[in-house]
Amino acid sequence: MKWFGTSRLDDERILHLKNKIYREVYTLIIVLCSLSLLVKLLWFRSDLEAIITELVILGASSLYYGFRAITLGIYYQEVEAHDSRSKIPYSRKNILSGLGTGIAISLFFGIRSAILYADGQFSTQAWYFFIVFMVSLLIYLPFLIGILAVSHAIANKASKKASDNDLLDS
Amino acid sequence: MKNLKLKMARVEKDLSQDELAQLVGVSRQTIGLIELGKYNPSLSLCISICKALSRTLNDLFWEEE
Repeated sequence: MKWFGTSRLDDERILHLKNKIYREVYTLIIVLCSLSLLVKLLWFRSDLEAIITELVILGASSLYYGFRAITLGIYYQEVEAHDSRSKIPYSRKNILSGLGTGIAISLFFGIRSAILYADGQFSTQAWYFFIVFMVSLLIYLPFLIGILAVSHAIANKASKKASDNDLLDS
Repeated sequence: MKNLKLKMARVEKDLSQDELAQLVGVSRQTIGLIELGKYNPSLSLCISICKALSRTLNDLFWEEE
């Protein structure tokens, strides 16, 4: 990209290295945001106002990556490459990751309730943990599995279309 | 593995690494790293280097066993 008529040296090696740095910076930002979110939820205020910045950064960057991966066709290509070398299809792994995330979120909310709201007795803490864990499991598990399965199917279809268009000789 | 063919072709053309880099449109370090075998250039960069040195891809980038 050239701004203000300046001509820059377009060296692919430097470009690759810069892209590598951008990838590391992105990972760093995601890790820092996730840590901040976790610390705020566990030890400080947990209302939406306190965590909105982290949620926006995590959500917007994920959505943007997803959108670009679909429109460039690489989502479908990655799924195809994965399925050709793995015994477990990507769609099944996707459902399993929904299952894992649902259990992790439920565990998190269960532990959080036991720490924040129980009166310090072990029996109350265990009861709070169990109740919140089970309710979270009932809410989040079907929701996450459904969301991941449906979004995967839609994204894969759209990405396949973009990928097929790329191969057209026009 | 060092790319001695590239280095020889550049020297035969009486070009420094910096001059070749300017002809191709990359940095001097990139040419140096390609000659040292520490960077794998893309096909389009290989072609640009070949054109600048008036050689073919075979001449500069094909490794004979």
